Amino acid sequence: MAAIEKLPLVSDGVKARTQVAGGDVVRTAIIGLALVLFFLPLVASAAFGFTLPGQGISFEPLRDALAGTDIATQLMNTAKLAVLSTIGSLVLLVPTLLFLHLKAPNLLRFTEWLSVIPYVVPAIALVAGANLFFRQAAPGFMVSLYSLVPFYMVLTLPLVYRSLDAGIRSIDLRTLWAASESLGAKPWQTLWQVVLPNLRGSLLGASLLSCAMVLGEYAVAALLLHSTFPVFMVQVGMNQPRAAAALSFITILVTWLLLALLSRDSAPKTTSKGGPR
Amino acid sequence: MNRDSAEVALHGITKSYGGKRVLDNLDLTLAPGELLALLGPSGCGKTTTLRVLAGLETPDTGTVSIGGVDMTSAPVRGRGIGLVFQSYSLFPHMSAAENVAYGLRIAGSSKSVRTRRATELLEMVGLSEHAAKFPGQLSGGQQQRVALARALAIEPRVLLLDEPLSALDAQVRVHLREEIKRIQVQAGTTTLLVTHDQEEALTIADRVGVMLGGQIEQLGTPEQIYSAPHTAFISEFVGAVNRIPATATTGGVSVLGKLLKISNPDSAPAAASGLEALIRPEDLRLTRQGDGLGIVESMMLRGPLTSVMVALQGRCLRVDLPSHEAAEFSPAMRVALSPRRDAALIDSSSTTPRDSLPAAPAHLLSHLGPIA
Repeated sequence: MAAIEKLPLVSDGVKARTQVAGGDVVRTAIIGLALVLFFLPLVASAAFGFTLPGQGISFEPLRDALAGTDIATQLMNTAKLAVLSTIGSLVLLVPTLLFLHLKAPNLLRFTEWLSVIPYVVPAIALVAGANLFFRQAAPGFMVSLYSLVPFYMVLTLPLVYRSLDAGIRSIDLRTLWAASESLGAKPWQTLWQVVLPNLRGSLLGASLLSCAMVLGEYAVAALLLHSTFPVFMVQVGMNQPRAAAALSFITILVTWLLLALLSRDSAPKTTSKGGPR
Repeated sequence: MNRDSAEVALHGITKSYGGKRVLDNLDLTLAPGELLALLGPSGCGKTTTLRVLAGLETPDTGTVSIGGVDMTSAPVRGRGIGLVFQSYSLFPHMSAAENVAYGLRIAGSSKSVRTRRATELLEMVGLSEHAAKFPGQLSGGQQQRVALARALAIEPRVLLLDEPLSALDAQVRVHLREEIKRIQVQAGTTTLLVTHDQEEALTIADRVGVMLGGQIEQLGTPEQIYSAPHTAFISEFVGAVNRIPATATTGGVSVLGKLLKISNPDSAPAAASGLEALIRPEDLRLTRQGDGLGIVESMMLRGPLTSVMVALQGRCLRVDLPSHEAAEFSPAMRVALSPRRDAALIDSSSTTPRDSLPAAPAHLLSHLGPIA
């Protein structure tokens, strides 16, 4: 009797184990497939970009393509745009979000909805509309490279907004603000000494997302006839596909390095936050 | 060390949120150096009172003065207050010592002064060896001590404690409230404590204000609040109480066969019937009596006291006795009850579940602990 009762238990156990093992296999397979699909184009573009038929590995296509161009200028342009748009976004959004969280939390739902609009409006529509208006209103404005900054601030808004909002929500802003104020701090002192140090992670995250987006933005820059690095890459790619592949591979690598660096720096310290125990 | 403690006065404070009146023409005065506790259920306006005094909320009407100076519209930082919150108020990126020194750094004190003062205060709250730790590495009780030290570092004229112990374990809470009292007496700072824990208020406050509906129901010493509450609400809020049927007679009420004076002639109902006397468990005398009306239902040891639950006329009454005296009683014993005092608080009959379920009462409800 006891044996009969035990039997199903045993077979259940065996089944459970095989299921776990089966789950492992499926999981590994899916991850493996995803990794292959992810890295294959990268590796392929590197292989394509850094080889010449019959010569093996070579930097020649890249060198040829870059010779006589002013890639340094394009890179500088893009870097300047990235830095300016990021600073612009932070300067605009950090005080706004802090104010909303402190004084008008009811409006947050509305502003969050507002912040996704750039996702919904395609770049082409944004540019076409702005173009029509500004060419009439301020003809000189669109000529300057820096006219891209406001566009980029709009484009990166959803990402920057979310990153900052999450950071602010993770600290008890109202209490920290009140505590600091009661200890005699003026608003800017509280902002500088208490709030920003505790938002470090989310500030870095927001900056990274904003930079990454600007570094890869093509549509707006191309439509407004500005020469940035992505625009340059597309132009190169038209007649020198190997160089374009090599360049895009390098760009991705650099972006990753940047990301890794930032995420290492912004990793939450174990000492930084804790509740009552 | 009675350095800077100030008199605090709130006059005619009214505050509404979206049409709901949270504070209703509230007056409150704190004498220099006293610890006043505001006690009340949630939503009674006690925290709003503290926030108005701190300057975190602006009253719709009324004035706030600290040390005789009108502070009604002064910013938080100009009021000379120290604030301790329920929890999570320490700056997470600063060590305990840096947290304590923050106010002095803002005020522009030199590094040596800051360090000396922070060391001194951390020593006072018993955390010298944890000075370099970050809030995340401290326990809840330790965090609150640091918060207290931080609030005291700027030598505030008024210390405001907003439920500082609510988030802590019972044991830490009891220990820390004694600590708060000691430190408050040592610093001599006028202190307002907001709490919903009546034991906390009664044990450490010099005076207690019981709040209800945006007003102070009664303000007095803990002794007055506990022993001579003005209303039934206060009586039931600050401790356990028995509701015993009473009949009006000339010169008072008759309760359990004894004539008692009415301690609340102003608020007592005018009706002659449907009255109840509110009597605390320790204010009932219990005697063994073969033909007594009460039957001992159960006994509950509470440490030095024992609660004897007595079924009487379909009600379950609680009598608290010193445990050694309670030893002579046992369940199912017939007993007689009589009030120890000569006066009682009178209220009209409440429609508690006990009364609306006459069939179920005693044994079921004694398990539910109707008055515990």
